[in-house]
Amino acid sequence: MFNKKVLHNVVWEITLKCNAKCLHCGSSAGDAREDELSTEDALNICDQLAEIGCRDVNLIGGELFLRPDWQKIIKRLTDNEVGVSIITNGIALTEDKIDFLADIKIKTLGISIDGGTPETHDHIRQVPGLFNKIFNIMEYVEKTNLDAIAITTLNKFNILELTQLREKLINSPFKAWQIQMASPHGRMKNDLCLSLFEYYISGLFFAKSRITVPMKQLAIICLHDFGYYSKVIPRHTSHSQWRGCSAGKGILGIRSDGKIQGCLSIYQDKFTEGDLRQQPLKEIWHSIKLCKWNKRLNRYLSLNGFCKKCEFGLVCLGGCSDIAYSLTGNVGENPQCYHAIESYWKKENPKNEFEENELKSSLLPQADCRQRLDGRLDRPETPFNADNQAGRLFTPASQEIFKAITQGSMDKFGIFYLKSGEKISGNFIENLNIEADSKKLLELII
Amino acid sequence: MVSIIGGTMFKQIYRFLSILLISNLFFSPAVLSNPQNNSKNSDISAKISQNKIKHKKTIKEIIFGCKKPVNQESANNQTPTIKKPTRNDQGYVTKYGVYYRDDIYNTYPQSDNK
Repeated sequence: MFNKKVLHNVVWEITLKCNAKCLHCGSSAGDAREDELSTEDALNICDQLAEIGCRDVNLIGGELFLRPDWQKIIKRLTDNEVGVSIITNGIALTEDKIDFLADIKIKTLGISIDGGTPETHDHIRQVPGLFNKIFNIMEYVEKTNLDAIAITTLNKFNILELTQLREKLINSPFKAWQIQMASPHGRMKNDLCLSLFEYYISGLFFAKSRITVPMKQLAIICLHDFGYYSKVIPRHTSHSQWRGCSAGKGILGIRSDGKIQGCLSIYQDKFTEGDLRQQPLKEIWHSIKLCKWNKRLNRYLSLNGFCKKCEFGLVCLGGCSDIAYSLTGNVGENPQCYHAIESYWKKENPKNEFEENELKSSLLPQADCRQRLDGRLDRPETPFNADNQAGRLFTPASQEIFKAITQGSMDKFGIFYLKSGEKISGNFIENLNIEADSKKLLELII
Repeated sequence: MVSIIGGTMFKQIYRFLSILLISNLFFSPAVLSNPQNNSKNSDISAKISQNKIKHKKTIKEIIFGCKKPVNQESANNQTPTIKKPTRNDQGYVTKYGVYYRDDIYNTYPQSDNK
């Protein structure tokens, strides 16, 4: 209970300047912020991070290579014995830079790969030729001792290419694959967000892939925005037991203007915890007010809808704060939850607790949209519609199969069975009377 | 006079220890958490009651630090060839960060760590 607070990981956006225009970019990166930190300020932060015992720092952008002093920052951090990882879009990745990163021994080189084909990746990134450029430069990365990890942000553009992407990565120098959800803020449009059907199937796909693909060939991990407490989907996430958001507890985010966030993905000003130009990092980190919204008791009291009634509520506290906030305008209600989905479809007559809650609520959500159990995203100004029952977007046949899947099971070989005992196979999907897109989606788990 | 002061102090210490005990029982994640997916067919309420039983700790454990329950899965992950995790499996990487390969390996079952 009285363990010393340890800053395990800081994600530091060293510039917001970016040479890509990714369609899903939550930070709306492009131009640098007006008041980004000077080199002197940045190096001072490196020292402060070491002073408070920070273990690891992830440097990101925008695109970090567009900041002229990126090498100085990395060097200062490594001199201070802070572990450094970087994430790049790969556009400016050259042999010289790779040599520098290998010599200075960064921990991980994360490169964004968002499609199974050049067309999809380059479209999402809005940079022609980038997909091929990355896989070409990876041949050079392979000659060094760098650990390269592919990072995929999942959205409607790339979900149907997951199998292709997995095969491409298996046959590439990438040693691991990290997957995260695109959440609808920044430049990411609401309609690119996965429906809950897609979300659930993708979870099954990654769980199956972890079983069928040898770890040493390609280690696969989904971030904590996938989860929670599923009785059907085997482990595929970073956590075996989700115990609530770590923002301000073991992690921090630093913006390029020196503002501190509990987690960089929750970038809204109301979640700003301090300013490094005004206060030392140590003072912010040890402040009792840091991420008050994420204190266990506050989070528990802020739970809404299904999460409020959920038996795991006290431990889970609403899952990933970013996803919950961006989908509902509230950190206490996360529709993208396996347990919520499974509980919902388990009922004879499914009833949507999220909608039920909204009926009682007189406050409109603050985010751009809400996601319901049927996967629909609604603008907050959209009045509640009593006809908006779950599953409305699917045909009854699709609803039935979705219901059966959420009550099924996966064996140790990664083969998925419905509750009836029927195996999900190519023939089984072929004979289903459902939409073509739903069939393609289901093919991810065969 | 001394006995009155002693009685008040004793009451305050008693209250403090009671609050400490209760808050630890309620808010310690180590005792409240459930495995994500290891009990496919078991009833959730049964799991919760099992966990409640696990909450019972000795006073020594409560005062001098709780003994972390043995996590079968992470115990299985430990092999001589794989470096032990330096952090627990809660995951200290945010959505905008990247994992280390060894940390990803540590999320796999022991049989895969070969």
